[in-house]
Amino acid sequence: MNELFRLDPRTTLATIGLLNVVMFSAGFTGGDALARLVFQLIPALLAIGIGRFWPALAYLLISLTALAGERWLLAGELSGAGVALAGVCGLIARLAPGLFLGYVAVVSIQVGELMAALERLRIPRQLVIPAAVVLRFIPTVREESAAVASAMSARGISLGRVGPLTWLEYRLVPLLISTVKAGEELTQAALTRGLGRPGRATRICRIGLRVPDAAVFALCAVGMGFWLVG
Amino acid sequence: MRGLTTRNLINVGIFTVLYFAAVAVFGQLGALVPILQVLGPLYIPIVAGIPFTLFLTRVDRFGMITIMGILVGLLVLATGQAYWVPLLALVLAPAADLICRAGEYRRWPYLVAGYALFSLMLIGTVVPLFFAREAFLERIGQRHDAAWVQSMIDLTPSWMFAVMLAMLVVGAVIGAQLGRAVLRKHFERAGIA
Repeated sequence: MNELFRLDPRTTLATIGLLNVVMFSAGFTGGDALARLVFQLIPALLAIGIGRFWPALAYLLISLTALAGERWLLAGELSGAGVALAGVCGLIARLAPGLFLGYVAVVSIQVGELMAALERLRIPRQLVIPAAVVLRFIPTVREESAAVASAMSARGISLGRVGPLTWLEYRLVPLLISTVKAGEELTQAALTRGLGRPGRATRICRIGLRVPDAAVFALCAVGMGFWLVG
Repeated sequence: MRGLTTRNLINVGIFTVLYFAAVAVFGQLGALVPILQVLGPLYIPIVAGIPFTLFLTRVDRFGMITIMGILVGLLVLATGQAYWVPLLALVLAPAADLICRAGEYRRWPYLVAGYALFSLMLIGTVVPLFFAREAFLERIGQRHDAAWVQSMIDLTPSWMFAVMLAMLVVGAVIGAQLGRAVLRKHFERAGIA
């Protein structure tokens, strides 16, 4: 996967904030609808930037279809099924941008970059380290969780067969044990490499605001402008 | 908070992910079925009790629960829920931390009380439903069909807010007990408790 451009983590984080503000507060008509559309496009742009063309295309297809579908269904005569379908479309159109941007952030921001960026924002160490661990562990927990689920289905264990409490136990206990063990190894590795030594660490990764960051901020500004005006 | 070691901070990060995963995965069920949305305050702290109790075995000083609360609030914010959860976390997480500290992070009744207080921040996801009802239902109504909205209205008279707070507390107490049972049955044997 070839990167087209690389953003400063601070840009990505700011975009997440702005996108959620707009998705939360904006209305659905006039300028607000345009603002929504702009912010609907931004996550796809960022995904293309890190070379994830197919996910970006799938996201655009799904979210824009949902948006258009909702519009079209609500404009016409409403039957019961039509309302339900419009509801599902609306749900997808509202939630998909935030979730997809979250996915892009998790796959694009490297742990070292995040730490460098947060340190530059003068965030205290007590928040920087756990935040970096969160970023590092979200994919781990997802993978482990999928592994547990497939192991369960391979043994024919389903919610219907064992009851909710046992199911929960089978699902969570292995996940917790493997994640915690991975965490202990991570702790050893991190301490060995000098994480938490007093003083400021030097970093290999370079972060800084460059042209792509400015472009993304400009696009966000356009979206915010539509929202504030309309 | 100055006394926190790197090891403490890494543990906070790991258990934040696990706690949030439990809350988010099971919380999403409520978006599909109204009755689960209403029962969420009961069963979500029960499920989340398992990772939280295991987390408490690693907590031995002030600050860890506070930081976890703040990070959970930020994660909730980043996944498109209301800003009430992070705001509540700023108050409730340090309070829960203080209660657990009063029990030296060991005595069980204090830990249960701390977890109950910590869980109360989850009420933030439904605060708009009660205090900005019109706006919330209008917004939600854009993403759900009319029948869903109507059943939400029927299921949530104003006194339901107090009931939901009570459900969170009861759920947290049950969740803590469940967590302790799982702790004894599995985690101690696996050598990670």
